[in-house]
Amino acid sequence: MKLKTSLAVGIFAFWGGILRYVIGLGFHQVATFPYGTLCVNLIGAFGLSFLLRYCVVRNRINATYTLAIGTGFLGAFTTFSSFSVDTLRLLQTNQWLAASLYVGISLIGGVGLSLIADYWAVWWLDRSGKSQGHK
Amino acid sequence: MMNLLLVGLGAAIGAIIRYQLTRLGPRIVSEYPLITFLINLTGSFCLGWVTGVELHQPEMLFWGVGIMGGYTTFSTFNHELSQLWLRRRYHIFFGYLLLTYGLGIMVAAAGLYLGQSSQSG
Repeated sequence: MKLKTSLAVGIFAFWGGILRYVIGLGFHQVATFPYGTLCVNLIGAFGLSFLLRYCVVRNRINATYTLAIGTGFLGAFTTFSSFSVDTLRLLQTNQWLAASLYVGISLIGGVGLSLIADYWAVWWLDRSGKSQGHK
Repeated sequence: MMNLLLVGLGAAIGAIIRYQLTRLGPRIVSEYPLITFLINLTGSFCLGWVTGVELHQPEMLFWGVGIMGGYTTFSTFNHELSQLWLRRRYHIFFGYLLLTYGLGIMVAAAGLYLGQSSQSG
């Protein structure tokens, strides 16, 4: 079970989930478009790739914390289920443009930011001479 | 305040389930990120279902926003995609990308309709 790590993942996920909910509430009052989910997902995609590249190479944060922040906090902060249901809702109400923008930005933005974060982390490490670069 | 607690507790439970499932990952010999793939699809289905049965506010916050939100993940999905791209596994990259987005929305629709019909039936 790895009780200690599971607990760490759970505690960090607790805060990640709450933060996602609060950001969603904030945007909900402004518009019907799922800005909240889009926002947390893009931030999380960038954050996780940066964290994992930077920490793996730099090895400054121990494995339990990496799991707690990455799998726990950022994993719970971001969500795929809301994305699917949000998109479905837009399609059901015939908001084709909004639906394609939502899917398009999530898709390209998610992968793009993940890659940028990875390259940025490598560049950052290169400056301090700690990186072997990409394979 | 109660709402925040419900979301937080749900997210913690969802994330721990996801973490335990992800630990099975290395035992499966495949470059395709099967575990995250299945987590996101089952989570999309369940959130669709929960949305279809129209749970009331506190239950929806716990099950939908909390558990399903914490269980599924967008950050790991995209991290895995970026790693596939960097390792030049373009076939797996596009397969994983298209299957997750395409099937994700389809299973959410299936869940929603099943939830709605279980409600009216």
